[in-house]
Amino acid sequence: MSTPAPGEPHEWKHAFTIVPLDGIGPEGLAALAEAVEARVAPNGRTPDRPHPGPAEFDHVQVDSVARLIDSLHGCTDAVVSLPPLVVVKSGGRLRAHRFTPEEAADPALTPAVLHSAADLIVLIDRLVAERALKEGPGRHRRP
Amino acid sequence: MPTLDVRLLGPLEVRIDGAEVAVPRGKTATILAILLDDANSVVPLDSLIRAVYGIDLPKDPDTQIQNAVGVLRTKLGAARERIETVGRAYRLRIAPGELDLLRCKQNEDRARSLRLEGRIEEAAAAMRAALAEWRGPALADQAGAAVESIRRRYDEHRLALLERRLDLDLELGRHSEVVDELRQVAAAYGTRQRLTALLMRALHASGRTAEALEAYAALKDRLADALGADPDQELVALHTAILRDRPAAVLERPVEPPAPVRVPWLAPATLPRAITRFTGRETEIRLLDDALEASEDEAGLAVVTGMGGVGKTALAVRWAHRVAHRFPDGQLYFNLRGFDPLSDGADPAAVLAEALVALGVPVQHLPAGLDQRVSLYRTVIARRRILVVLDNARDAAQVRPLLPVAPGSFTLVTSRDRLSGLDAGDGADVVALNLMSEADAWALLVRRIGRTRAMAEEEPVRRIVAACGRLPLALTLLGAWAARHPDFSLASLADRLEQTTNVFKVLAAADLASDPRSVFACSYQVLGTRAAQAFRLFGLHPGPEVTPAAMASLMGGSVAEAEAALGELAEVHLAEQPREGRYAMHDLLRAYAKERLTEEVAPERRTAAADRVVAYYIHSARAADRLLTLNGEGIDPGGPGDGVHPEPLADAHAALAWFETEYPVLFDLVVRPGAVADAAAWRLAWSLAEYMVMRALSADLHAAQTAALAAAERTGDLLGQVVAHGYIGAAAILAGDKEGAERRLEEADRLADASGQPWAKGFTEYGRAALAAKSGEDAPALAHCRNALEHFRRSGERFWSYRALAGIGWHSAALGEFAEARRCFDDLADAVRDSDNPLAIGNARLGLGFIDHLQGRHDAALAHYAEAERILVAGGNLPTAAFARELTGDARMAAGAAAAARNDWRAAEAVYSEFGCVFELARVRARLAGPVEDAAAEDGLIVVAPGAAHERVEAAVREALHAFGYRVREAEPSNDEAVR
Repeated sequence: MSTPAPGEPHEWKHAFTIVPLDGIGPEGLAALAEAVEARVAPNGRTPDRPHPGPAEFDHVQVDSVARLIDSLHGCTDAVVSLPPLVVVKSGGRLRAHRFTPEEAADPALTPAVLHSAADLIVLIDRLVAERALKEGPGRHRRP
Repeated sequence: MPTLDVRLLGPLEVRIDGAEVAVPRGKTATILAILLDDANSVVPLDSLIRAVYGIDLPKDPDTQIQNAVGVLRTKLGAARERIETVGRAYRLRIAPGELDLLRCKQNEDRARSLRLEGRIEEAAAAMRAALAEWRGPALADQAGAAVESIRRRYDEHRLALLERRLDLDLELGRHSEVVDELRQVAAAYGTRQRLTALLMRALHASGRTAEALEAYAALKDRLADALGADPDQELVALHTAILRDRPAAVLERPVEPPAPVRVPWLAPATLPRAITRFTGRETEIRLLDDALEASEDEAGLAVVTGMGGVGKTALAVRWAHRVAHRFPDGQLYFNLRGFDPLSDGADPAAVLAEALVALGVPVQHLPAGLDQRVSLYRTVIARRRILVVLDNARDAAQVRPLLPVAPGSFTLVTSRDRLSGLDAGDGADVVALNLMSEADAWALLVRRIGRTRAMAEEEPVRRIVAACGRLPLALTLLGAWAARHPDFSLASLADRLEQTTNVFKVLAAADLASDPRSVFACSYQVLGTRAAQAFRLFGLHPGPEVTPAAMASLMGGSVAEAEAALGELAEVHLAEQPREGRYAMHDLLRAYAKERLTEEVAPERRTAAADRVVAYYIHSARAADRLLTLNGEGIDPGGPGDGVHPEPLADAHAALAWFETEYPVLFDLVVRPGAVADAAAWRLAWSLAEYMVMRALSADLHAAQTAALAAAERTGDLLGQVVAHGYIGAAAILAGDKEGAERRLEEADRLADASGQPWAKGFTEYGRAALAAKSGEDAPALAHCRNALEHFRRSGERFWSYRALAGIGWHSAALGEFAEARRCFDDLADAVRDSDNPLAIGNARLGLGFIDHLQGRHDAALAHYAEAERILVAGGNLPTAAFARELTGDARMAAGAAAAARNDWRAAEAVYSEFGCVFELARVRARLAGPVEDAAAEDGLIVVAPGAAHERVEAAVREALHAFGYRVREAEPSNDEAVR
């Protein structure tokens, strides 16, 4: 987010800890990331028809993902970080990206960077493009 | 006495009364360094030779070293006596204040204690004082391989102390103050990862995160260049945490591998009560005192030998109490029963298990083998000053595994055998305990009968003392008898005593000093009928201690009669009462009791009494099993029979205590061929099975059920074979042998089919469910529980039906089939509402709570768990009540109340520990060991630009997380906020 000018309202920010309910391992967050990523088209648009998602997602999960994405559509700029997932809305663009462990460990992708929605959009597009080019997860610098 | 001031943490320096002493470099200085390194301990001459010369020995190395020691003594002048010759060894005596190394260790120990007490500031100061003893590299001005080895060890230790001091400084928030020092030390020890970790923590906490990351990168390069290695896992984790900008507090945890099993520092005190009227034995006590003094800083060992009844135990216990204050780390007592006429004596492995538990080792961490137990025992007591009394040892082999080897410990062994093996091989001081002197024997008797009476009948007293052969046990018995009969003439007693050998012809030629049976006979003869019967039956009882109920069963009479009889035996010292409601007998008396039984009681009556006591064990075990596990409804062993009185057990605590005390006897009855009739053997094994499962005694369970299987096969009892195979399968599950368990359950299933009994089929299906559940396979476990329920219902057996129904509910819930799970637990609650089965009622509540918990309704879950716990506590099902508390902790943790959750887990842990519930204990300790949640926790963040409805985003995030099995935990308020 950009720094507000004097007198301007501040952005709303909430940091919290995500903890598993009993018996759930880290695979739950990975599944959430997968569901969200699948629901957000690579071009940043939400598909016309809801993505049915992988067969193992139940309707409660699919609906909750749809509502999350809808809620972000109502924002100008927003970042939701639910590691390994980051969902970003900036201007008219919406991106979702699952960070690989290598990307997550990269100093260039520290939380300080994750606060800027616009920068994140650029970064995610770049990561996706690089991944598509099968260059593998290298050491990326923010532009 | 001259004062020494010796320093080796730097150049070697020796001062005597302030005056410097020049110790010649080379051999002499090396010997001094080695003696200082092992200050106050004995250093064998051979060790000195090896250290000084290595393999390149001179012509007469002994003399060379002895000469060098002579030079050293000369140099020490007035303090020459400090170097003692101990056989072919030397010892340098030096007080802690006289040697910098010992002062350093004192401060180090103090720092550790203060740190544990949370007094960080003082701990850091103590650690600084420890480090201040160093004036440079250890033995900086000396050379040679031996000195080099000592130097390396001490310098490494110095570095470890420095790290700990810096760690304490970081704990105190002195981050910026220590950065420069850390930089210097980390640069000096370039590849030492712990120092870099401390530096990274200090930099990050000082707001210099970039430099912290640089320090990591630099170390990474250094490691790659120097060693071709990567940073270790802990350092990588620290690096990642700094990258993620975790708060400094998270990083405060020292980067150290987790300790394996922490053994709480318990100081056991298991000495029995000392005899109040102990008389004489001053010489022997002084000899034992001397042995203790001589063994200072070694593992001391003394053996008291003497004939039965001469008072070895009394002396050992008396002396142990006398010197107990010198063993602040504990005093252990074990009766090895080496001369028990009815058993082979205590198994060293079992004694070690008892010792380890007394020293704080959790039951589930006891190794199985004798060697492993010996190793653990020696490790646990390695630095403890502990006194061990091993009473009634059979031979050296029984004693050796139990001997502590750590300096400062002391072992006192008593035995009828001289234990020459210990004398020769282990350097034991032997104290021979002979018959009492005339004067001591007289004093012992007079203390019991009173001086006035003794003076009035001086001659008879002398005759009694002579008739008792000055044997303390005999004098004690007769003194007790005479005291109980104050009007009885002592002259008549003396007459009678002198005639007893005629009464008991077997003793015609007996020498009283070597065979005290005539004395026993005197006490025995005057017992009342019931007490005499009880005395004889002691010789038939299978265990070392007897309760009134067990004695009543042996006698075939009432418990009140038995209690009165035992009371009479205790009053005349023919039996002891080690604790309330339990009676024991000296092994000599027991042997005599056995003789009397054989000679005076007809075989058929002996057999009937033996059968009754076995029935006592079977029915008591069943009653205890029901109280502990509610098991045992499956097979009705019939009524206890006439004259059999099962142990009256009030609650689960009493049941547990009874099982714990009688376990060796019960186990022996099951596995010893012919101890119990075949028809009873497998039932007894079954009553013991759930206790063994609870304690995870897989090897014992396997042995007991194998014996039970053989018994059931001999009688052709198919049901017994099914149960035995099933529990052998359970033993395999406990041992992690899945294939073995499957094979046994298949065999059980085949036999269950052949038996045509639905309960047997249900039992094997339930076993299969347990096997699947153990592997975390909820779906097959659920299917087997369903099958089991069907069979149990057909058999009309309630308890096992409830068990299967609860299993269905639990596995359904785990699989997310909440409707099915709820239906099961509702059914269970309906079925048991009006029953007297608190375990089933409580389980229904637990299940309903579990469903609410999984679905995020924490308040509802907590209400169910609380009600379940109340019901289970009221019903005495304490381990299951502890499970309710554990689940309460889970629900509280899920609701974000971490501190309350940990309290619940600790409460559950205490009960699991008390009842020895091995798996449950491991599970709850895993929860307590670390923030389990945090292991899988992630930091989430929502940032929304001004103007947008952030509430909607926030709600959607929470909903999505919940749908995928997560929840949001807010940062816990600080203490100040909590106070407000």
